[in-house]
Amino acid sequence: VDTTQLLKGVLDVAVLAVVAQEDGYGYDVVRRLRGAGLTDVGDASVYGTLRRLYSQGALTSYVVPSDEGPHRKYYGINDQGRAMLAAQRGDWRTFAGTMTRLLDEEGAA
Amino acid sequence: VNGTKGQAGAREAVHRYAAEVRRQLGDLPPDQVEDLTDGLEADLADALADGPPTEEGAAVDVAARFGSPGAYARELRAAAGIPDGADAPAKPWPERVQRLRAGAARAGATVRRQPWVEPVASAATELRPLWWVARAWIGYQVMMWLVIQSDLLLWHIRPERDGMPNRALHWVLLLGLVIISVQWGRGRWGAGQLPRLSRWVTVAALLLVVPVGWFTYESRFYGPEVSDVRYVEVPAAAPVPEDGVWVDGMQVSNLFVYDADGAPLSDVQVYDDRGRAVRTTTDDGWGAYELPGVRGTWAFVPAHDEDGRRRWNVYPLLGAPYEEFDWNAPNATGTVEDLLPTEPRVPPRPFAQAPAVVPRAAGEHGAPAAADPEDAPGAGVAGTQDQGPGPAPSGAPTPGEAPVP
Repeated sequence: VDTTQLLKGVLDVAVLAVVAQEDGYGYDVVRRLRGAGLTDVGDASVYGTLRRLYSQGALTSYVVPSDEGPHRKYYGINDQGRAMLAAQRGDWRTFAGTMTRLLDEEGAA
Repeated sequence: VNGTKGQAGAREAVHRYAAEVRRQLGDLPPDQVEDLTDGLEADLADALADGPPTEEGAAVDVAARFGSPGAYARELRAAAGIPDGADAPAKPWPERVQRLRAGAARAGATVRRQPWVEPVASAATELRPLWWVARAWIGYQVMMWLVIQSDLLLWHIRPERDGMPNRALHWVLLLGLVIISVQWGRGRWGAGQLPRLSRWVTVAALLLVVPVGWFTYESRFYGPEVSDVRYVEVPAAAPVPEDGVWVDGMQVSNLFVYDADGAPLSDVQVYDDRGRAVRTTTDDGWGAYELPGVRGTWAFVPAHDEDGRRRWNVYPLLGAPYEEFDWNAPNATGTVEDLLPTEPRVPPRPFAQAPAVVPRAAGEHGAPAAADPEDAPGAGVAGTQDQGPGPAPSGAPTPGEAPVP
């Protein structure tokens, strides 16, 4: 199974979940996704997803100046984002359950 | 110390990489690019710091860590849900233009497959800083041209056309433009916010190359526009007058001499006050002359003195109509007189008889009348001849020795 292809479909919900735990800036989100086990996630994909979710109104954004070097753009979740996360979490559970059952039955047969 | 140097190098590399990514997104509106890449430097720097530590002093290769800026930009764009510029043009072009673009794309692809493209392209990339400087110089020349054309600040800037700054102010202008151009080329000073800035400046500079080149090339005809040196007009030396005899601004070809009675004289030698022969022609007889009221042209031959030397100051010059000369004579010795089979004639005179000179009245000057008989023996014979002391009053005067100039 090509995990990068799987990742494409679930990156939105993964990013929402990470940001829902705690506000984070671009690379911070990448690091936490990788730490959670999604090691193949691409930097630019995560940044692009953050921007898209923000422009869809699921995230808030604010800039934190840095003592050294360039400023950082932090993202936080809002109500719309939380609703989106809840819906997609449900979708995922249903989907994952279906897939698990399907694969288990096949393996059992 | 090495650590801070390494950090500065990393920051520099990150900057360049981010600028390139922004350039790759150049077809998007600036605010969208800004939105997509805001904080990109911080993210890149953090990601680099998180990765395996680079060797001490080794150059930071951002592209090795994140892939090419183009691929990075594409990934960013795809994840953000912005269609690729190539896939969905903002406004569909007319069909003819589309066909043209497709043809150009095909040709471009064919060219890109050539083996020499890779080294040439990489060399062109390496030479980009050179172009940034050239671009600044083009801007500098345009500035000079504008100042000259508009007369604005002429005395403050004192522009030069030849493209070489030779005043401190010119150097400051040129260096300032170079710095701006280089910074834009590197994606700084607003180029990050306006990714197309550098490209537009390049297009403008390329369009201006021809007029600026012409303006510079043309400058060799011009002095400095404004100069501390003043030019004072001095009268030029009068043109050296040409040889010959001139009357009323018109060169004459022949002279006719009349005696006091108004009778025409022939074979009269004419000298100036320094004893030089007065010659109307200097072409040794090879020229053809228009005579007033005469159809066709005449050529003249010289007289000869006792020693066989040719004399061109014996008037009236004798000659013949031009066509009477046998110009193609096979046995020509190189002198015109040999080419004339007939005897030379006196050209038509202006008039057969000139007005006679009235002799000085006897009572007017008492002394000369009394003195004349003693001084000039011929005077009494001639009667009407002039009163001055001189040679024989009539006939052909024959001075013994004519100084040759």
